[in-house]
Amino acid sequence: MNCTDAQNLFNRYMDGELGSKKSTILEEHLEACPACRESLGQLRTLVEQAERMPMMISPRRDLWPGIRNRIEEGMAKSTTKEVGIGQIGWPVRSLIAAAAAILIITASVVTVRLFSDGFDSLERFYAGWNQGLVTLAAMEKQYLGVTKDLIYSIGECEDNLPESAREIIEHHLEIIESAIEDSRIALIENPSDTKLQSMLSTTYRQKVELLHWTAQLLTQL
Amino acid sequence: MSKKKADKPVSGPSGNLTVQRAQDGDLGAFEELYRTHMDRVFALCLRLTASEERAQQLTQDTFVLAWEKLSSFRGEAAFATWLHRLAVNTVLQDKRARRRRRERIVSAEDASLIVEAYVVPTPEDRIDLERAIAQLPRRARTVFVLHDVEGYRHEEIAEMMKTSIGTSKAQLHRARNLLRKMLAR
Repeated sequence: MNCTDAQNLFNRYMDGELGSKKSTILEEHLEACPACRESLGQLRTLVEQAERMPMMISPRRDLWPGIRNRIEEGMAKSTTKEVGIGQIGWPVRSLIAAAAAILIITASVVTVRLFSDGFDSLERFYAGWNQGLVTLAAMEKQYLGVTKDLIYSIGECEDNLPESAREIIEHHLEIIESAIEDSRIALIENPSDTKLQSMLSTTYRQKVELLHWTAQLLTQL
Repeated sequence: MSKKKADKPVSGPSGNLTVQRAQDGDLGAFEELYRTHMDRVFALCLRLTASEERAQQLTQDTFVLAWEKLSSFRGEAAFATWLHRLAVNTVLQDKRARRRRRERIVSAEDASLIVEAYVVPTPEDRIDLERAIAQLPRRARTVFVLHDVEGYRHEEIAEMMKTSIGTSKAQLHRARNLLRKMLAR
């Protein structure tokens, strides 16, 4: 067993999920390897610290007035028993949802034609990235700027988006964000892996395309 | 792993009576419940979101929801346990979070602000851990806080996060490994 194999087993070993045979092999390695002993010790300390963390933290302002107001507003509303938007027109919402789903799928495979200035500049960065002229850090910085602008413009009129369509968009964003998160984690461990870097840049691009499409949809509603 | 911290009672013997009064519509009794449990709920929300503003909003959301659902609380579990689970679900299902999450990367500076604002003077290693947790990727942070800090089991976490037990374990291992590296710097 080498150090990498050993370190891959540390968490399961600590949590008592490693079989006796593998545990014995790991313990033999630990006996002979001070570096792995130290790493395992650090992990154990970390878990012990986490268990001892204080469970109570006071908010810096009194949250009760806001809670009381919302409860009292809710009580007042429940007495009037208004018919909400959610109780009518569900077939219309379903149609919009279906249309949104189709459009999202389309947006993921077809390049969006009407790019904003920010999106255009990101495209140039992608081109530079593909030619090895732009660093990942520079591309990320550009991505952050573009998504920030898009999120701001979406946020301004997001309430106009039907709930069902919003849920579908959110679902797609969740998937893309998971991929971004996974790539980021993997890159922390292997920062020079070019395949991981490409994967991350691709998922950034997909997210920007989806946000851009959503922003455009909102302008048409 | 110790017994789930959410199961540890934080209210006295009069707690059940207060819950009953609140269930009968006594807002004063519900405020007592809020005063007893708010610190616990806020700590959970703060660690899960790494954002003071969102933690405040979600703490409020949790108690508003608790008031609305109070009739469904039957006393089979401790009120604290029921409320805690409600808080976790409120954070995980937060729709407002989605918009912010699209962009959110907690920087070391953000994390330091959270730590300075909320962490009372304690040994330096704990402050470092709070700061490091705030910088974890969202899903890894969620699983680490729920499992290693709060004491939930992977089965429970998988159910709450609508994911598999294997994914929950993988995220926990990633979180621990990242934290170990951050703290070893």
